[in-house]
Amino acid sequence: MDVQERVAAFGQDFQRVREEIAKVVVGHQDVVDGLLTCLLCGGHALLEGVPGLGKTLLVKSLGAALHLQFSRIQFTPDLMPADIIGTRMVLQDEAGRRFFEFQRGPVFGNIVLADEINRATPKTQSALLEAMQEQTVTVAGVEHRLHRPFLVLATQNPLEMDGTYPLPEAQLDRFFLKLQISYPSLQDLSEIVNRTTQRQEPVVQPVLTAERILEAQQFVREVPIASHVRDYAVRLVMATHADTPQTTELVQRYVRYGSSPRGVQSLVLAGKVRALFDSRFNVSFEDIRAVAIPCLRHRLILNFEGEAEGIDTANLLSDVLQHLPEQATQVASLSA
Amino acid sequence: MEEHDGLETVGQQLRQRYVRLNRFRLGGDVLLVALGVSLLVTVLIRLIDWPVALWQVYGVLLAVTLGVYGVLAWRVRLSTLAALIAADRVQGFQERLSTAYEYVQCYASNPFLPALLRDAEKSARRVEVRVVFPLHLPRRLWGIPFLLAALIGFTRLEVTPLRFDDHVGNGVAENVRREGKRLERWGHRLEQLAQQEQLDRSLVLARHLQNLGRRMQREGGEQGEVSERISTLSQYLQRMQQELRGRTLMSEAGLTATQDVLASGKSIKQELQDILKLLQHEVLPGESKQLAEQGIQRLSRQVGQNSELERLLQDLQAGNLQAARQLLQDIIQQQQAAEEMEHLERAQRALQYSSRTIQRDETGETSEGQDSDGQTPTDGGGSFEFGEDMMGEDMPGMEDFTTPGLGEDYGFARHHQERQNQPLRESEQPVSEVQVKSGEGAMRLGYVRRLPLRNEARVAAEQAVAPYQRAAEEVLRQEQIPRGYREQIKQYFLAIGIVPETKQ
Repeated sequence: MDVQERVAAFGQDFQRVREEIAKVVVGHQDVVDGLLTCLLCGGHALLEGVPGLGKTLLVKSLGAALHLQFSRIQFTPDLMPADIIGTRMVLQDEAGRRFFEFQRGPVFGNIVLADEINRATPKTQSALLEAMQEQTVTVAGVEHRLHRPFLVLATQNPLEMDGTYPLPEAQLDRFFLKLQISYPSLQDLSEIVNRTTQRQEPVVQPVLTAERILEAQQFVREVPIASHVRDYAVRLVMATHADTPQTTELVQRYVRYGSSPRGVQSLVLAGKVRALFDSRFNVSFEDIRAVAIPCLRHRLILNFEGEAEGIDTANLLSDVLQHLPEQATQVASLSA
Repeated sequence: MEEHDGLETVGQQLRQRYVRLNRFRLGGDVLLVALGVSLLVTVLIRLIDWPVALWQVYGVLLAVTLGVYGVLAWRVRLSTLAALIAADRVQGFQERLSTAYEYVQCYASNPFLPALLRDAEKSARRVEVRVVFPLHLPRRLWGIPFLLAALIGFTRLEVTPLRFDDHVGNGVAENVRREGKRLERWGHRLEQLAQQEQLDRSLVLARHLQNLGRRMQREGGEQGEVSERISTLSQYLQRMQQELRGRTLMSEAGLTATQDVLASGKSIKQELQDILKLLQHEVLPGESKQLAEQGIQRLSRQVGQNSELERLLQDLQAGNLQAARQLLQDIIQQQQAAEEMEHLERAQRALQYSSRTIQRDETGETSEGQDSDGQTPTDGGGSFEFGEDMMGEDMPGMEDFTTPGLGEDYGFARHHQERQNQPLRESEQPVSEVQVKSGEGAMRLGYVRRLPLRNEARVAAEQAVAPYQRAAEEVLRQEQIPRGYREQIKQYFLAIGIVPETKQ
């Protein structure tokens, strides 16, 4: 099949997924695209929003739209790591002999919803670290591979902070995107009411298989990106560090640590997915700019002054995007 | 790859456009800077009166400008990829062109490349080279016509060179500065004359004189130091004279003869050159021969008996054109050399005069009596070394160049025979001023500033002086002149040479 046809098929497939999700979830198109981006890039997403905005519903709908195994973990302070990854249990066979058997936890699924992830203790949160990065789980010295594709979709509530445990930086860095769910608009709210108060609620049909998703994941990685666009992504990440020359005054003032190299990886991969969604065969500067905030906002660690003043990292990134030139070399001034 | 051609073509066009525009802008900038420097240099040259020809300066600047432009223009380059990046950015192609070009060059096996190339080729057809690299003249380049106009204007403008007398010459003695000013002015006029007459040595000398004059005004120095400087230039001048004599092989007799010719003025030289032009023909037509003979006869009448002119006439009449031409050329050459020699001698006398004036002022012998015209009344001491002919002149050797007695304006007036032959006319100004207040007490004494000029006077000097002489004799008889002033008055009348000493 020609690349052009493959790109067209790619677009159609994911358009169908969007349509299926849209049966249940009203609006939040950018969040849906973000989740699909994570799915195609093999990353994980952290959804942040106040209660009642449909975070869980969105993830459930995504799971329903795909022929994938969906599991949900409700994080609570007494949740233990074994409750997530599974544990060895003593079982007895018909002959009365007892033996250990590994009982898989909910992490063994394709799409794992880690609901209110910040309510669990850091120990439990960190149980996901290996799963998210290596896509394996090690119990009693035995490594268990997770299903593929594997996608962790965590949600957290930014308001009710009492009794919560903010995610450690190492954990945050493993999320490919951080998506913020905003309050629906008037029209969307009206549509939500309309859909959820009818006799029959819409049903989401699965439209994409795991194989097709894995194939798409490989396809995404082949999208061309020019060296100067890649350099722009690199400079963008470097600009989030307060001690680099291309940074901005705001970053210098409020940022303690900038983005890790995972930030560049997510920028480039998410840019590639965006190019394909747009039926293009290459990544543009615009793609990188569009995905910069969800890719990097959770990777910036503010200093005391930034925390005290309640600085939003998205604003810092907007400032960097505004000031960073596309071209670092003399080419920037060619047509001036 | 056929699909690739459009992309290459567009890249090439973009590159050429970029290089052309940038070289054009660069040329404008270099020209702007060159014009600015030229203007600055011109202003400096005109203000400090630097003795260098402007065309030489402009020539050097032009060469430097071309060199700089050549080097800078050679460095203006652009890669095809950079040109395509610019096109992507300006025309909003979302990096299609640059990505396709880069992948063609480096990652030809990428499965996306064929589709990307097709996409890029479509975009390449929409590239507008003039939009990507528009012709935009920086505002600063509008300064070029203004600078050019200013440069032309300043080149044609007559500017008085700056003098820093008030600042620099504060520590300079008044007499040194005055003499320096004289020498500079004298040198300046000699320079003009030398340029006009094409006298190389006089030109060099004139510049040396000006430099010396400026240095005296600027630096001054002790009496010995100033005299040493004058003496050095004087020695140099003597060497020039010797060299001139040696080169032209002029005997003293020849010099005298040439000076006789010179005494008739410039028109003689012109006459000689006109005759030489007539003699340039191999076969002399009768009419030209007649004109040449008439010219020689005119010259003979003006300068009196001159053996060379007679010989020239004889050669011409005998039809010996070759010899006549040679002789005429020798005469012209000798006259040229004589003019040079005369200027050198005048300069020598001017230097001597300045040196002596400074020495005399340093010793304070007559400094109080020096008026603004620089004339030096003689005192009774008799230490003044110049002869009587100095009295009416501001500087020796200026007799033929100056309009004597016009204060400090020592002009290089042309000496015309007819002017010297003008009849005396009555002066419109009082011929002299004598302010003497009689009385026994304090006296106020005034000097006669000048005698009327010979060619401006309308009455004879003897007639003009006679009343004053009589008045003076009357005063002396009545003994109203204090005793201490009598000798001075006596010396004055002796000095002007009208009153015979026996009368006193």
